[in-house]
Amino acid sequence: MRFRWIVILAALILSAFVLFENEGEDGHTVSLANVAQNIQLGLDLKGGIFMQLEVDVEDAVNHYVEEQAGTIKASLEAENITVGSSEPKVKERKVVLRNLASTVSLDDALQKVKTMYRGYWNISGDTGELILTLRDAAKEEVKDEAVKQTVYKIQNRIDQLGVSEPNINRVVGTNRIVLELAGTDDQARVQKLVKEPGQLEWRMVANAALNTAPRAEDLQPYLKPGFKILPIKEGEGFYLLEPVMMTASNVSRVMASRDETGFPAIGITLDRAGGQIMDNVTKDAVGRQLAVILDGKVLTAPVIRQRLSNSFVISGSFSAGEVDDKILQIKSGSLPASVRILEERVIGPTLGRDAIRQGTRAAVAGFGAVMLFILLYYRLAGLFAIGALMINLILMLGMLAGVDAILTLPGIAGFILTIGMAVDANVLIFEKIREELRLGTAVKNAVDIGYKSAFVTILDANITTFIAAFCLLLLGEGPIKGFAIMLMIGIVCSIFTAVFCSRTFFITYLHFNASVRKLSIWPIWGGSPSATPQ
Amino acid sequence: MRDIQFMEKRKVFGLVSVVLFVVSLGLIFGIGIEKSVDYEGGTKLTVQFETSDVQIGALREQVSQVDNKASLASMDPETHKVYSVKIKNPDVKEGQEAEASLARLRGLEKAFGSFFDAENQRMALLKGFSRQQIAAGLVAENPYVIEGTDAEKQSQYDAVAGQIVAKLSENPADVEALATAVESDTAKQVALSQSLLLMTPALNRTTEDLLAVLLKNQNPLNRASSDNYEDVARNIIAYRETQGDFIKDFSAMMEGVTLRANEDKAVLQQFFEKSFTLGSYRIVSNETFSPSIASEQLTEAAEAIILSLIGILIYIAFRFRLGYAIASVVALIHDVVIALGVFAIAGKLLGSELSNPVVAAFLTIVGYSLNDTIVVFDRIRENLQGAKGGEVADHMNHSINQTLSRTIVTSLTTFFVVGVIYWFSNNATLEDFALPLLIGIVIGTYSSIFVASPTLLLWHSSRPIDS
Repeated sequence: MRFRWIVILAALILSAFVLFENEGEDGHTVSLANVAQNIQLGLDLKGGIFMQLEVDVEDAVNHYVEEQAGTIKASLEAENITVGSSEPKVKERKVVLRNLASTVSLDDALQKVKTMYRGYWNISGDTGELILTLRDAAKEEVKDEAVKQTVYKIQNRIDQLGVSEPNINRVVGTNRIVLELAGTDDQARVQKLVKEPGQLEWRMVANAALNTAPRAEDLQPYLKPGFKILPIKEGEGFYLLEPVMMTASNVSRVMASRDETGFPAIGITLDRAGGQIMDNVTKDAVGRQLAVILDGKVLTAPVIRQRLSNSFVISGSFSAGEVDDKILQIKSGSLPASVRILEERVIGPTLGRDAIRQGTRAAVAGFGAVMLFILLYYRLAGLFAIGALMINLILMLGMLAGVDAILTLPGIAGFILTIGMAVDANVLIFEKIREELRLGTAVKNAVDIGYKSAFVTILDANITTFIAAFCLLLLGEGPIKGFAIMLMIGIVCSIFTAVFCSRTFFITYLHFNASVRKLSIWPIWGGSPSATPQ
Repeated sequence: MRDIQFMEKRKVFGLVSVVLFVVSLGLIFGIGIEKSVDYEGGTKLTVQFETSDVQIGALREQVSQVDNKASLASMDPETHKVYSVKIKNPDVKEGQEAEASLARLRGLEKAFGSFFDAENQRMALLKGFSRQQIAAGLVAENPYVIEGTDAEKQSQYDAVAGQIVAKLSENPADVEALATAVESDTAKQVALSQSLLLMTPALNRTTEDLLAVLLKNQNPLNRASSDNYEDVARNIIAYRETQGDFIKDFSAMMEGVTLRANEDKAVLQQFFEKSFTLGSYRIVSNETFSPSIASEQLTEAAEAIILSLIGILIYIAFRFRLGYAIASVVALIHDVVIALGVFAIAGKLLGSELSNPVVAAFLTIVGYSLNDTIVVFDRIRENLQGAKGGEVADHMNHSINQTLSRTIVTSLTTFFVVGVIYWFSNNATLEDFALPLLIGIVIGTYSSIFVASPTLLLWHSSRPIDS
């Protein structure tokens, strides 16, 4: 008996601790107010925007082929191979190069093209007409990058909306992106941000002396027209930036490369105009910093080591992964990946607040009604059941907070429903006890038999509901998932409380009233075995 | 207590069930079950007005001009402030879903605003802007997606701002008319009018987070740039909540705002008057599903239900015997079909539609109905195992009687609780859930007595008791 009470108390304390404890900025606190923080609310309760997007990856491939037709021509010409014409055949995923010529032998030129582009393209034909067909693997890579870029772009500019804890995730294995933005309901703003290409800017960092000012105000006096102040990184000060010198339109190629010491670096190729600007700016700017900015955020600000022209590398102490990330980010400044919005759910801030109120009201009313009925119908045993139900409530909430499940509006319905169903296990047991009592079994034995024989039934009945709830998880949708999880939590908790806790109450009661001959388990309006002998 | 003779009357109830089943199938395929927008594609929007002055007839007329497929329903029969608009399967070109949903939203907003002179208020606000202000706003929003240096953007948008100021004096009806007067390219017109809308936000339709950002961007109180406006935004939204979620005038609102020592409330009030409209309605929720995602969800829902049936069949066959599994699944299919049939009637009478919560409720019915059946079956098995001769039907009848009290009590308590959700929660989603559950509880209880056991008897009749 003592062991049983320890288990119950431990479960209760653990639940209460999970519910009330909070490790916030101001240290460890235990208070009732923390409950609201410890139970995570779904978007449908706290308000926000849920969006499911599909990146048009075919469009991205088209775009890539078109862009490569130009890039390949330019790159070959940099290698002293002239190209008569370079025509993209977007539908067929091909680039047709015509009339290749070179100062060295044509065979060498052909070989050179093949080594340069073999990785991405199947190459056929001769120097008169060379056909580059995008390989399937390359196609997949381009598609994959298009989705990644879109995710980056959205992540990068999401703070324009002021939302806290945005969730932007790719749906694994698909071209889809799921956006969960709490605290905003401005569809137009979110759509604009999702659909527009990123804004890439190249600016010189103004003056080394002013650089990295701790506060933006320090730089304010130096802010001339076109100049801009941007944070370096969170908490690391600010850059004063000169007017924009180049934009994404000047960048023709961004790729993974290596610097002269062999470390991973970002290789950049500019178009003719970009090359000239770069040449002009860097000729007397060695030692100064050049900032690459995407959507108002400094991606990187390398120091210029030498005069640059249209092709150069940006190196830092980047890992290969960081280089890939930065490349995607820089590219997202030019690629207008077209997205389709498959699903858009906007929940205003009042809806969830009202729903919680309405749900709580319904829960309290339902709970009250059930308690009253149980008390009238089972009297003392009913009181035990109510005690178990109370523990059930606390455990359910504790588990909800403990497993980091998300409470949704359907989840509230699940919660209320579970209250109704939680009584079932006790009803099963009590009815069995009554049956035994009717047969004339002694109180203590009747209770034992009731619990023992009802247990298997309870388990079977609940496991099937559990299977149904589990299949609901496959419905894949946020709010419904909340319902399924609530139901599953409810089933586990109600089995424990109905079977274990209420029995403990019985055992304790019978321990202190060992001589009891009539159990208070009959309806208040009569029906005890003495009244209607079997 | 004498046993009630359920099994004797099994033929009668069998007939009743068959009739109900057939009628339900007829109802399901005859009048059909309306699918909600999450399974059909389209938009479902709920709007709340500040006053109850908007008449449903007038609103219906306005809304039908946005889309003639739109249907309107009142969500609060007492106060007449909340309405829901449904547009199923709107004509949208593939790939244009986003644009279409914004255009639809804008159309509806105009329809709602038409009762409050909202467009005129917005235009008045725009007229109050200086050319520089408009240009700065456009540079920030960059509707034409100009790539270039700041000076380039500035000069281009300054020109646009000049035109806007000029055209505003001709009193265009709304931002769309203004954009059309200024710009000839259709795509740019849409982008420009969107930007103008973003530049003239309505305070009653702003969230706390967004308000903080808008204030920080405009910095009316001249705070340090690293500083934020979260305190002001929080004050204002808290005040809005005390006013029934609608702020009625800016000067009264200032009473709810606490500023810092050196800051002037009058400055802030003036800023709001010049940059915000109030807005007399709010979009409570707005859900849009493209047809492709809708059909995907419908398939997923069907898969979930079928999978759960299979899972349960296997479990029961494993725990009991195959006959029990078959009997319980027969009862389940009986339940779900009849519940769907009743739901079809509810669709006609109450406008209930098949949606994700409803499918979740149906799956719960599957679980619940089984719960009941298993309790009865468990007792039947127990009694048959200990039986010494006698008719199987009598043993079954006795088992049903033994569990009857429990069946009734559990069904009643669950019915109570779900009934409370249905009648007292006042919440559309919760009600969507509760209705099929209520139907399911009644049918599930009936079927475990009158359908599952007789079906089991059919199976058992070919097998002697001691098998």
